[in-house]
Amino acid sequence: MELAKNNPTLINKKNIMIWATALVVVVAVSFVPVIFSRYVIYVATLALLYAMLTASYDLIFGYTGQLSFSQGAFFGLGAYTSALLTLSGGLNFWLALPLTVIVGFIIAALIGSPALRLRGSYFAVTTFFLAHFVYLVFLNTDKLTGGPMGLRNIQPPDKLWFIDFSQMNVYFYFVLLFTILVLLFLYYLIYKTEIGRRFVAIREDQDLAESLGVNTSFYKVLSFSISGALAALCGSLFAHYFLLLHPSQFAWFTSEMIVIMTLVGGAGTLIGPVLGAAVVTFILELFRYAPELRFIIWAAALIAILVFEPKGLMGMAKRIRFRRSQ
Amino acid sequence: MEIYIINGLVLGSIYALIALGINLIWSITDIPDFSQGGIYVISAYVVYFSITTLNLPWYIAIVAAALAGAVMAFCFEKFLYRRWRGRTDHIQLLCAIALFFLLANLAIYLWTAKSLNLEHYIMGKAEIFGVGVSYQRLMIIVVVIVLFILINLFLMKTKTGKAIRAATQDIEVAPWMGIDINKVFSIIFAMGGALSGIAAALVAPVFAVYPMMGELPLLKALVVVILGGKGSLVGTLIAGMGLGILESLGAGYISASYQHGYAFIILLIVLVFKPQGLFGSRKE
Amino acid sequence: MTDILEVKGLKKQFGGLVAVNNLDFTIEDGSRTGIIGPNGAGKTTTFAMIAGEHNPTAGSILFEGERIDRLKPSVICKKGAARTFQIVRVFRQLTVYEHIIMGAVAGKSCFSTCSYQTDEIEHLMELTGFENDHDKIAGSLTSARQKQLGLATALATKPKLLLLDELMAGLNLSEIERSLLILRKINEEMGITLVIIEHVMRVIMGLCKKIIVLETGQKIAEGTPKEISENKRVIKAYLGKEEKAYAGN
Repeated sequence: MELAKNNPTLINKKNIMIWATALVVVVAVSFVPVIFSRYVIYVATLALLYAMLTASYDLIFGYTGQLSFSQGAFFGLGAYTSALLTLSGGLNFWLALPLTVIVGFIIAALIGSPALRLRGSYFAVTTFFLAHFVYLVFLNTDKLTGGPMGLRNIQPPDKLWFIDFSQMNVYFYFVLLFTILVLLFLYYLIYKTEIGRRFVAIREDQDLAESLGVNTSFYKVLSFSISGALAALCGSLFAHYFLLLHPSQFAWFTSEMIVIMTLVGGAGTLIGPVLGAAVVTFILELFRYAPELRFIIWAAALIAILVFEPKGLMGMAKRIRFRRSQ
Repeated sequence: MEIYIINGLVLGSIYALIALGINLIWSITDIPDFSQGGIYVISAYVVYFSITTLNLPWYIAIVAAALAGAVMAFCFEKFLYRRWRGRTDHIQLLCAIALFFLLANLAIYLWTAKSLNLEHYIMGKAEIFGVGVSYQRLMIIVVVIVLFILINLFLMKTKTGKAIRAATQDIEVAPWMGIDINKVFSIIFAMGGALSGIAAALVAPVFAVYPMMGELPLLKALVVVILGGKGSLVGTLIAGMGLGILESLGAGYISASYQHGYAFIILLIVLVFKPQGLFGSRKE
Repeated sequence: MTDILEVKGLKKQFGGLVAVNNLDFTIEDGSRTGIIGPNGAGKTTTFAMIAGEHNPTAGSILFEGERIDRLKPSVICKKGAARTFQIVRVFRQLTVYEHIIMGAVAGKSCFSTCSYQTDEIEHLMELTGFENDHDKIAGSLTSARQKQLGLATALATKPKLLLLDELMAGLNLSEIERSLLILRKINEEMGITLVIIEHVMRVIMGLCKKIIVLETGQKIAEGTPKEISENKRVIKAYLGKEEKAYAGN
């Protein structure tokens, strides 16, 4: 009998165009720091950070179908953990970074196992509260986190080989770009293998997946934990880029923004959330000078997206392509 | 000790009252209606301006707040949630959160973030177990209990109430039993909005009126629903009061800075041991 | 012959409602058994308890001599008891091929890529009539076909016992005949024990050697099709009006 392996082929005729486009985009994005001003670089770095954070969220929401509002909390946990490990613990950043990821994974697993017993909207509400709880911890453990005063004096990443981060911020941009590419590749692998299949099965119909032998509670917690670990990774990078942490950076609004960015791009589409994060970050920058109106327009825009294009930018692109081919 | 328990009861009554509306909506439509948090805020401003600008008596102001809440919730359901009925991809929940966010920020935009104070509706205080409790606070507890009894009667005795209960049991079968789902949805949303409006009107003089006042009561009310169990009135009342008392005791004896975090810890503990909620029969 | 499934004193209570009460029956290895009864008799609830979706309030379920009540559905599936659902349940966005493979690999503990026998999958698709539908999206099939896809996917888990919940609902006469043929093959060639809930009486009467009749959560009769069709209590409770209802068929 013939044994078939379900091996994903990375490059074939069908998707060669997609890979070509991706290459062009990556090259173009790499040239941003060369051409544009410091301010644009700053916004672009921010956009990359949010893109990564949104990508980390797409695993639990887009692929596994569990709406969670705690991504900002794991982002914050990562930021504070990494900052404290280097500041109080005196660790080298490049050692603190993997430790932070592990901490993120463990905390997500510990909270996920009871919380993921709940389904759908009940789980969503629980994570909403989790985000609030983590914010309270940042605010109230003054001795550790500086409380409402925040954490200052965080140092940029230590020198790595010949790259000195304290000299040039642009390096950071490339580190982020590189990390996102690694992350997307990781996602591609997850998506193409049995783990990804099970995540998707849970999203599509949890009861059916369970009845076919998928240990749904395990895979849900796994997805939540990986997602939390990646958010913590983003948090660590964030802390050592901005060098200043404050609890308000991680209030529930941050988590909500991540959900919105994912939706703008299109959940569960691999590239959509990254796109959504970039678009939203730049739009938010445009409204920088009208802060009172900013959130009103923001919320109204979200409702409009839900009404008119709930599948996001990727859904829109798909529809346009479909119409053309008709 | 007594003072904490009484304060906890006041707080818990408010949680229970908002949770009651949210529970009815949640158990029938599967929407955890975050927009009730925004409705709560706007209703509080309605009360404030009814009393200060329009010089209306307080009981009329409460009715006005209830009406405002009912109208808002009714419209949200009719023009937004209804489009996505039956979908399981959380669109309604996201829309509800966006509405909550929109209303709170609208309040900041229109009336600034500054907090406004109202006089107690009824002055004076009573002496209970040697503790002075203002009539205003007592009124909250009494009104909430009366409302729970009234709504229980409504659900048990009236035809509409029975239709709502049938819909809570099985939304898919309800239309076959001649129940107009649109009507049921409109009624429970309006009811939920009115309850949030009344809750806001009751606390406005005790705490203050400000744009962010909705966030914490909303979160607590949602937790109360999960703790109390889907569709359980008694569960909601007991979980609400219980959470209020525990929070108040925790703030008094353990740490006040975590007052708003206890609910989450209780929730996690309950989830580990009794995932279906304390009083409900929700499927795991 | 040995018994593959043994249900003893099974009871399920939802709040105040007793859905299944003190139910006893055994299923012989390799047999075909039908469960009938009016709506709300507790048939689907019984399936849900055997498959692990609900925990029984009381009683026990033995699969190959081993207690399986209170185990999770995924564990029970791995032990060899699979089910299809009364309502249509599919992974809407997968293709038919991916969908069936899901059944083959879901229960295996493999992280990267699982191997499965292609010819077995192909054979399964041919058997269930999906041989020309490899790349069709599951969500685009008609609901009757989606139920058949559910059967194919459940078969891919290589069960010893298969619980089929109203597989035939919505099929026309010729489709029913085809499905009957498929079920016979599954039972006789693959040696899978079948337990079937069905409202279409001709399916039950034609296919099953033993029939169990439930009413309001209790077993009111058990026996061969002939015995059942002559049982007065069954006729009164169920067959009388159902026969009329299906007379049009």
